Amino acid sequence: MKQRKIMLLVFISISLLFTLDASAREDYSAIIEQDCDACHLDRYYPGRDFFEAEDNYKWKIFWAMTVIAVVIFLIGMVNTTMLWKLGKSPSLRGKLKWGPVIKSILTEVILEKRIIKTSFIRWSVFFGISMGFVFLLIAFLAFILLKFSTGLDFIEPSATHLALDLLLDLFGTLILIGTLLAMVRRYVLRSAQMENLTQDTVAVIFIFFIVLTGFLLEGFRFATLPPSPTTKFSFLGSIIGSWLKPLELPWTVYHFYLWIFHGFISLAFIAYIPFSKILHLIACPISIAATASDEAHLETNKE
Amino acid sequence: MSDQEDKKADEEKKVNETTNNKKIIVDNLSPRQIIEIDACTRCGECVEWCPVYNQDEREGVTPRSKATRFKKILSSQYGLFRADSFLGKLFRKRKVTPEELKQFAADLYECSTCRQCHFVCPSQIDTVELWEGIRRSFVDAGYGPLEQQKHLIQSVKSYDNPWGQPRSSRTRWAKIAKRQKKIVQEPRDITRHKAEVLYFVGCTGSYDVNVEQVAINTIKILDELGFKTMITSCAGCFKTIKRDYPKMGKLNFEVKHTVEFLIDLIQSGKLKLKNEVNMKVTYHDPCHMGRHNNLYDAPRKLLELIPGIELIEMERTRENARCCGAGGGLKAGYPDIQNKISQTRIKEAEATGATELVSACPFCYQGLQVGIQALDSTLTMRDITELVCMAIEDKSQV
Repeated sequence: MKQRKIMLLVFISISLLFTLDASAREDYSAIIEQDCDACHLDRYYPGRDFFEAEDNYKWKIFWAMTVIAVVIFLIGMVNTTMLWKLGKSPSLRGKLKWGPVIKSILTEVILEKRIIKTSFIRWSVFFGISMGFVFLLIAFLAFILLKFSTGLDFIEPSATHLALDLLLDLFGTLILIGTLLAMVRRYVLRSAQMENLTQDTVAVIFIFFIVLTGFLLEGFRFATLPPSPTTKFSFLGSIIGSWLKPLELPWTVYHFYLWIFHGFISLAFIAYIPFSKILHLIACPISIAATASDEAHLETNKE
Repeated sequence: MSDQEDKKADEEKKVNETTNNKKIIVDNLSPRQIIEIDACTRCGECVEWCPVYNQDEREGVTPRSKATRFKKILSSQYGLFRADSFLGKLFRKRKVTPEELKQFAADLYECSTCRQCHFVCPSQIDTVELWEGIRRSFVDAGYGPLEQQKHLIQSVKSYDNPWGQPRSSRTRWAKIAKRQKKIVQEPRDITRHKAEVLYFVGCTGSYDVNVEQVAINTIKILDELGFKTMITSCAGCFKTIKRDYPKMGKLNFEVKHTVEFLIDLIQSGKLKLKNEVNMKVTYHDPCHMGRHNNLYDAPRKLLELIPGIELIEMERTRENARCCGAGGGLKAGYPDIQNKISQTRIKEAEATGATELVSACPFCYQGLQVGIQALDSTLTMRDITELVCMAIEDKSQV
C-alpha cells in the first residue's frame, strides 16, 4: 500500500514538473534576439577579457583536476579490491535473500535504526551527512535521466531548474547541519569511547568546506544577479546573496576562483575516499545487507 | 642467564624462525569479511560494550583496534601499496614487524567471542566469524594459538576432547550417576541401539584448523547413526554443530538445545512437572545460545513452566546480556580476565536478590562458578535441567 502511494506521488510530481516546465519555459534569448552571453557579459563580468579567460580556463582546469582525481580514486579502489579479493571463502551462507536485503538497506542503511536507538545526535550527524550526499546524488542523477529521457532541462531557466535548485539547497543544508553537529559531537561533547584521528578531522573539514563553498558560490551568484522571485528556490544561497550584495565587491571574479577551489576540494575528497575511513560508505551497506541475508537464511533453515 | 630464561629465549627463537617474513594467508576468509574490516568506522560503540575491554581497558583488545590493525597488516603485505612494492616504497610503507604480529595475535585471543560487539555495531560486522577466521590465518602462520591454549589442541587431537581425559572416561559420568542413583539406567549406545534422539554430551573444538578433521569425522559418524534429532546441553556444542558444522558438510538431522527438547516433552505431556520448586532465580543467557543462536525465549519459557519458580531478570539480558568470559579460549588463555568478567556478572546477579543463578550451558556454569568463589557469593549456580529434575514427579521419567 505504501509503495503504491509513493509511486503515485512520484508520478504526480513528474507530471507537475512537465506542466510547470512547459509554462515557465520561454526562449528569452529568441525574444530579444541576442544570445545569453551578450547580456550577461555586459552586466555581470568585469570586461570581455575576464569572461574569455574564464570561459577558456574554467573547464580545462576542471577536467584536468577531474582526470587526476579519478586516476587516484581508481588506483585506490584497485588496491582496495585487490585486498577484498584475497578472501576465497563464500561470502554468504546461502543464496542472497533479496527481501531482507532491501528491508535492511531501508531500515539499517538509510534510516540507521540501530544508531537512533543509542544516540539521536549521532544519528543526526549520520543522516545529515550520509543521506544528504546520497539524496543529492540521486536527485542529480534523476534530473540527468529526465533530461535525456524526456528533454526536461535543468540547466536553462525552467521549472525543472528551480526544482533542482530547491533540492540541491535542501540536501546541501542537510549536509551542513550534519557536519556542524559532527564538529560539536567530536570536539565539544566528545564521549569517552570516541577517538579523534587525523583522518576524522580531515574528513569533517573536507565536507564542511565543500558544502560551505557550494553555498558561497550560490551567494556570489545571487549577489551579482538582479533580484527575482525564483531565487527563493535556492533558499540558503539567496539569503547569503542578500547579505553579500550591499558589499559591492567583484563577486564574479571571486566566483571564478572559488568555483575552482570548490571543484578542487570536491575532487580531492573523491580521490581521498579509498585511502580513508570514508570507504565505509561502500563497505557498510555491503556488511549490513550480507548480515541480513545470512540471518534470513539461518531463520528459514531453522529445524 | 637462568635455565628458564634460556628456555624462553629458545622458544622465542623458534617462534621467530617459523613466523619470520611469513605472509598472513587469508584464503579462509571471505571477500565480505575483508570488506567488513573497511566497514568499521571506529565509532567506539563496541568499546563501551566489550566485556574484556571493561576489565583491562586496553585499546588493543577492542574490536575497532583489531579491525584497524588487521587492515594495516593486510595492506603492508598485499596490494599495490604493499611494503615491498614500488608504490609502497614511494610512500614509505612500513613492514609490519613479527613483534606487532605477535601482539596482534595475543590481542586476538583476548576475546570471549561473546558476539556483543556484533549486536551494537552500526555496520553489523559479523565480528566473531571474522575474529575466528583471522585466528585461523594466524595459526597457519605460526602465531597462534597462545602457549597456554596449546594443550587444548593437543588434547582434542589425542583424546577427542579438550580436557585431556581418556576416551574411555567419556561415559564415566553415566556410570557414576547410576551408582549414585541419579539416573535409572545408563544411556544406551546409539551405535548398537537405533534411536530417533541422540543426546550429545561432549564438546569438541571446531574451527581451529588443527581440529577441523575432528568436526568432519563427527559429522560422518553422526550422519551414519541414522537418528533424527540431536540434543545437546552445551551452548558451545549447540552453536558449533548447528551453525559451524553445516559450513563443512550437510547435516541430515535436527539439532536442538536440551531446553527446546524439554519444552517439547512437557508440551506433549511426556514429561510432567508436578513438584513446586520454590526458588527465586535469575537467568544468565549463554552467549553461544542467545547472541549466536537467537535462543532467548525458550529457557525463559521453560522456567515459567516449572511450578514455583520466580524469575527475576538481571539488568542486562538477552542480546545485551553480560558474558561469563569463559568462551573463545579466554578462560584458558587469560584466566585472570575471565575471573574479573565473571565477578562482574555475579555482582549483577546478586543485585536481583535471587538465590539461584541459572544457566543452560556447562561452560557458563564453570565460568560463573569462578566468580561465585572469588566473591564468596551466596548465590547457588544451577543448570536449568537441575530445576526440571526437581520438578518432575518421578525420576524414572528422565
